Amino acid sequence: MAKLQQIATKLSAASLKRLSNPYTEFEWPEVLDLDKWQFSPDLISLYGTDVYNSLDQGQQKRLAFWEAVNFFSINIHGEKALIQGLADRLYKKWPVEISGYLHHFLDEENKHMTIFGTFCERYGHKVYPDKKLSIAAEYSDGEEDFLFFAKVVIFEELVDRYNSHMGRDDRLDDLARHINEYHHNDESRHLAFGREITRNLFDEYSAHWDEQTLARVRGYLADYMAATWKEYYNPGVYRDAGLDDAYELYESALVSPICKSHRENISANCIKFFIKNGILLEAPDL
Amino acid sequence: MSKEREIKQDLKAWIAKRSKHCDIDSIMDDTLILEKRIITSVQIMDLILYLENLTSKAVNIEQVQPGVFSSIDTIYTAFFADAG
Repeated sequence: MAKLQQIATKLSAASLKRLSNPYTEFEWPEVLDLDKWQFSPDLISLYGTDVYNSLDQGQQKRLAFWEAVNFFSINIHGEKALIQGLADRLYKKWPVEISGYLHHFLDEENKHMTIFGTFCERYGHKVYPDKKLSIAAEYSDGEEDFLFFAKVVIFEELVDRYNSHMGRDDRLDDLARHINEYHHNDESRHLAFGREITRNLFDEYSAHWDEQTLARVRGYLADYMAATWKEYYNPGVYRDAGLDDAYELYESALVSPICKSHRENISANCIKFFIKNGILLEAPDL
Repeated sequence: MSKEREIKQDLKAWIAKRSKHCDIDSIMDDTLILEKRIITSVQIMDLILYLENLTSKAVNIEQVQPGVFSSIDTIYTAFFADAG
């Protein structure tokens, strides 16, 4: 826990240094130029499939725009859950440095949501609805806190790979590139904190869990990673982009070797972290 | 086969295909699929997309009542019964 306290102190200082105002950071054009890429083509969920290759570039850019709206919607829903969970954990049982950093974490996540929400509502006139359902469960000691932060790591690791890629992609329209770059700059701190607290909680509690609990936790995290990926394949996106048979496209993308390889590649660092720390025993089937 | 029977059979097949713990014959209409962990809560999102495709209607998760995904019976009642 001492190392976590040190990290939290350093990250709080870094957050203070980078304090920003999302309301003045971005310039929002009245209309987006859809002749420009709003999402990196190689990150589009159908990229590399026969369907994607059959589209002309105008259709691919239209699909890219709706993929951007979906990606930012995923972020909104993920960060909503994150904010709820972080707020619940303020001043609970942590050393004061950790609650101090949780305040920055909350502040930054709230700012991100305003940016994503503005993009989605202004240009897509909607946020794609959340399909995840939270079901009450009984937990062993420490399991709920551990799962919360482990899920934060999974969600943010995947999102950050996309942000990092798109924040440096010169093909992207300036606004889309800037949003991704901005998010990546904050997420790198959140990830450092998330990894450390996840590792700490697992070490502290897993020694007291029985085999059944450990198996349940591992199964849940593997399923959660697979479910998180499914959000990136949204039939609503395909419909809005004017593609036929949206649900069939969703199902075929999930089993496409090209798409599966993409998911494995993007998830590799995240999975490595979980395996290295004994949290997962093997890579989940994505 | 009645329409209701057919839909319930499709739902069972969908669930059995994704379950790590059971086959289609062991899923009854009133089997508690979440409580018995036949499918997990994180698979509900996938089930919702499947239901949206079957019914051609969007599911508003905020309006879904607790217990709707308990069993084949509850799913059928919530999403198909009105359609006859």
